[in-house]
Amino acid sequence: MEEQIAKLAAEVAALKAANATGNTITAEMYYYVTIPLMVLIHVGFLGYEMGATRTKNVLASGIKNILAFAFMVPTFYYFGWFVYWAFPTGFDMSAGPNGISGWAYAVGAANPVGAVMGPNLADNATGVFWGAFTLFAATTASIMSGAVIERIRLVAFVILAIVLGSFAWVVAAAWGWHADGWMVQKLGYHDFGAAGLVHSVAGFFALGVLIHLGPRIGKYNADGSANHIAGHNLPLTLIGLMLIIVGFWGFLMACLIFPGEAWSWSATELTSIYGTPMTLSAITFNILMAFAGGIIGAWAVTRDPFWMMSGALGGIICAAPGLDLYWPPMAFAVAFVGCVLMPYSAKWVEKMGIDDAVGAFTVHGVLGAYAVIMLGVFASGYPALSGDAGVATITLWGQFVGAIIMALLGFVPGYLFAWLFKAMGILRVGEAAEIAGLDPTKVPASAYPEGIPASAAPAE
Amino acid sequence: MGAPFDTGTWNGITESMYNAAGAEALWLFISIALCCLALWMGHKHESESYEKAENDK
Repeated sequence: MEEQIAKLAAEVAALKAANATGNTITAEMYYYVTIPLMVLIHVGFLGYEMGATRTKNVLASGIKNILAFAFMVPTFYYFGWFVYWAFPTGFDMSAGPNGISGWAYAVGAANPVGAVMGPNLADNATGVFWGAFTLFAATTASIMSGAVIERIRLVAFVILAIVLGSFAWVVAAAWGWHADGWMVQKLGYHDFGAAGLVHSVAGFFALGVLIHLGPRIGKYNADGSANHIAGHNLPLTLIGLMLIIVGFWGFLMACLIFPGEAWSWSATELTSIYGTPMTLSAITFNILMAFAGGIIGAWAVTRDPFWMMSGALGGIICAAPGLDLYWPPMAFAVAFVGCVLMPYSAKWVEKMGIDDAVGAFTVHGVLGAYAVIMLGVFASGYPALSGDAGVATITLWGQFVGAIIMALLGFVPGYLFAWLFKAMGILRVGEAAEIAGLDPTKVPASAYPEGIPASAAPAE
Repeated sequence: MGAPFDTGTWNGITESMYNAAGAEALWLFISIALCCLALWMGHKHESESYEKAENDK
């Protein structure tokens, strides 16, 4: 009898060990898969931006995109990941209330010469988490990229991308996504899909840069009226935007915490990054409804396929802070209204003399802020963190203050660094190069060596 | 540089096993230096290209 009990106990122990291993590998694979999905965001940005560019600048735009992604990887390894873990309580890098932040914690978790930041058989998490966040960083930097096409110097752009992608948005994430983040703890700030901390930060950063960069030659007339500078391939831009939507699913998938691991919030259920309960089903309802609401709202007021596809992206951004909480028809309505306002915002920005070539400030900055505030309007009262009664709750005031903080975290460094590069004479390309085209000036390849053929004669 | 263990077996290897053990900071510095070099070379190429465009106009 004792022998049987011992045998059963051994079998149970073996089953538990196998289950634990299975859970660990499943969690690792879950985050691994989000990474190639998020690479599709960059496929999309490549198509989107190259299509929005005139033929004389198309490969230069592509290079800019590819390099932004490339430089995000090592710089996020060197210091971006460290910033996320060190800064949640503020610039003093003190330890946070959950014991998973601050200087000492970051030295253990994200030290670029530490044992967990490379192949380590005891660690099935750091690489895939770092990888997912690196793709978040690359996405953030890419948002700025489209606004500044056709006249920004490549190296200045790369450094600005590093500042945005490996520092500015990471501070925002440390404050507004990390469960120890002071904005979460004190304001109840809730931003499930990073509308504020990625999109708003990036959009306002782009605005800060655009103010110093200036418009493209020919954008404005002497009387201040604006000319539309058409991209050379709108179908490529539309396909690019749809690919960004595909990649967005990977982004949003990576915004939650798998259960059952030592680093998980829950043993048995998926949670948001804040530790609050949620399901993939919930965000699936809301991603699709917001996507549709954005397209349909934009179509209703523009009939323009560029704005419709911008509405697809903008719609998801509008609902992103509450994808885990919204009633789906409400997500549709919030996205619809945001994307109805979108083209008016873009027109106003253009009237102010800001040449935002692809509407990045409107789609990401303005809609990101709108999204954060709308959650405060419609979802106040939810606890912002897991735990007993008494944790901070979502409030309109907290979301409003959060939206302002996110805008400043983007605008201030973008404005200051662009000012510095302008003062050094390294922000903008030379006038002759801009007129001749960046491809013939500095790219050792030709996008269309046989030219673009004229339209065929219409059918009889 | 090479394997960080010389037991000739993977048995008992349970933690970090990357090949630059003890030289992490050196390789970190090398990779940072390469990024900076690339940026400097890119800046030089850009500046020369724009200057040529100004001279050719």
